Amino acid sequence: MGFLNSMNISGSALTAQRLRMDVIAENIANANTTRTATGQPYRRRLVLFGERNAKLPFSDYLSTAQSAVGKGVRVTQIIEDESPMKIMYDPSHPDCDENGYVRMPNVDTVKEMIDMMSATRSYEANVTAINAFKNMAMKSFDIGK
Amino acid sequence: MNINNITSQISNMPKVGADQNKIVGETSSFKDVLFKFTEDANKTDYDDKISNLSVLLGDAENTHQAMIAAEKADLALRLTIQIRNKIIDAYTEVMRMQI
Amino acid sequence: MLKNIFMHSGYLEKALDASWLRNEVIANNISNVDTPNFKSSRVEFESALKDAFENSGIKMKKTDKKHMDMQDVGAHDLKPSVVKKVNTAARMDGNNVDIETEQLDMVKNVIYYNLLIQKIGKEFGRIKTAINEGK
Repeated sequence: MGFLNSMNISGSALTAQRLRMDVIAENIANANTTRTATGQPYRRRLVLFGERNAKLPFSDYLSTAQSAVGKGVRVTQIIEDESPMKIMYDPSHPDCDENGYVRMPNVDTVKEMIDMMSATRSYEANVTAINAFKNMAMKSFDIGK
Repeated sequence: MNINNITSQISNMPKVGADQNKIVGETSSFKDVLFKFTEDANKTDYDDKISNLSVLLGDAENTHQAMIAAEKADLALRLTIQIRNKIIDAYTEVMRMQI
Repeated sequence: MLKNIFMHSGYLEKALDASWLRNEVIANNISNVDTPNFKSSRVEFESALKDAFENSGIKMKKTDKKHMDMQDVGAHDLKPSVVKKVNTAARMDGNNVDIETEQLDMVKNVIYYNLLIQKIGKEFGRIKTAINEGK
């Protein structure tokens, strides 16, 4: 449905931002996880965004106007944050090493909350875009009435 | 001589909205105009059907084009009907004339 | 004959096509607000149309009684173009999407599109009235 392209574009952003929010939520939930299934403390994860270029039918390459508009956004990768883990001194902690230091996840909860707000705002902007497009399409049905 | 000058000047002035494709001196008969019109009117109906098919085959580019195609076909049909009515009226009027 | 009847609405149609494309481009800009190195785009059409009118010598004066209808300005092949915005400042990740500007542009475009729809609807309505002789 080529005429619903605008909605596909905005929809792709909703999906991407939602995935970003899921990753942020996971970071927050695991901010204190010192031992995961691998035995290591939880390492912060983040998403990488990239432009979405769906496979176009050949006819779209010929029609320059179509190929000039992007196809939205997608999450290209979910990667682990390589920054160093936080070290905390707590000899009473079950996962501390022989010197009493515990390696904590490299999650900064405040930063994650700010990131979550940004994702939410982007999500809402795309919802507004969908509503605007819907308004346009519905109005065009009034031609001839 | 003065009158000839004026009329020749008037006929040489560029006509507003004149058909650029017409060769000067060529006249088209009423039949030609009528045929061209029915061709064009038919095309609007054809375009509308193509537009319908492209919508249901997922090929439409936007919504307003589909609506406009429908409206143009409707207007062309109405115009065709009116022209037909007028031609029939003119015909019956002529047939009614006493020689 | 039909071509002349629909010549004027043809301009509105072209503007509608441009407005539709603009909505897609703005939606794409908004969707990529967080994409690194993404550069936003915009649609250019109205300025090109204005050039076409100015180059053909048509003045937009409504008081010119000689013009019963607008002459053909040869704008049949005019298409909207998508242009990347290159001179707006980018953030640290290389992205230059200004979300507020984009949202504003989207609202403006919706109003513009709706206005064009109303105008073209009225144009067709007037043609219909003329055909039906007001019946």
